[in-house]
Amino acid sequence: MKIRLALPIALLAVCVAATGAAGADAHTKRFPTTVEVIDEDVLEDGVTGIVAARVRAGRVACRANRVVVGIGFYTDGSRRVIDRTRTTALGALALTFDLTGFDRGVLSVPRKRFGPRKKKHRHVCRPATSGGEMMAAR
Amino acid sequence: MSTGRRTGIGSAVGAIAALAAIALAVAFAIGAGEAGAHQQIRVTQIELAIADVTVEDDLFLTGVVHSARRCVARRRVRMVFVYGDGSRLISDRGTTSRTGAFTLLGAFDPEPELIVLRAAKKRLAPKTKRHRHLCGSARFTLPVN
Repeated sequence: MKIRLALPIALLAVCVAATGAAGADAHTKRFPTTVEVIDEDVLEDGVTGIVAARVRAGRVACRANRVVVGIGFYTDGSRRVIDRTRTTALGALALTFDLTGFDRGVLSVPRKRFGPRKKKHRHVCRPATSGGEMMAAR
Repeated sequence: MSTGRRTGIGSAVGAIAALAAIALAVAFAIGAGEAGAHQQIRVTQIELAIADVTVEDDLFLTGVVHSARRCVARRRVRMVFVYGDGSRLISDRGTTSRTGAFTLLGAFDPEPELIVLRAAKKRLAPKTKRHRHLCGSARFTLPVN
């Protein structure tokens, strides 16, 4: 008799715990991020490219101080990190890179976590990647 | 009677001590002067590459910081708007990339008279005050018209 009662109670307890965990996880707020190239040029030396871009997001914390990595694809098929920076207070950034053998590049913005320190209540800025058009139309 | 004798010895010792103290102070001052010469300052320059307006009518200035290798990355840069009445506004601030590139944004409302790009000085190792290596500050002024 006791065993018959214990099994449904245990199952019910597991279900309640799972529901609670899912509810707590819903407190994590996620904010979408986009990154767009606004201009690109070649420096006076003629062999260094420069690209200006902007990170857009609904929250100021998701625009300012975001890590941005530029990844270059070269004509020999290799792929390298060309430059790394952080955005300004308004979300602007610039990267420079060597143009020799450069085919195209992309900007990668990893996620950023901020807000409450409790694990289930964190705010998260989603990662973003620019299209592969950077310096491709030279 | 014996008081006068003691005073004489005391004054002689005091005079010697004072002379030693002065000599020590002079030696320290000379030493400090020589050590001060160990401070090294690297010159920094700003090259403006792109100056344009975004689709939202925001001004953006893109440039590069030129300096010694270790004075290029993570330099603090800011764009200051100087208005006709002499007031100033920091429109944007940030840091350079590993290669020294930066972009700063600003809204033209109201229109400033002058735009100043400024890279702040950077302190490098060693931390000892007299042996510090410094990256000098740089300024680039741009008239609006």
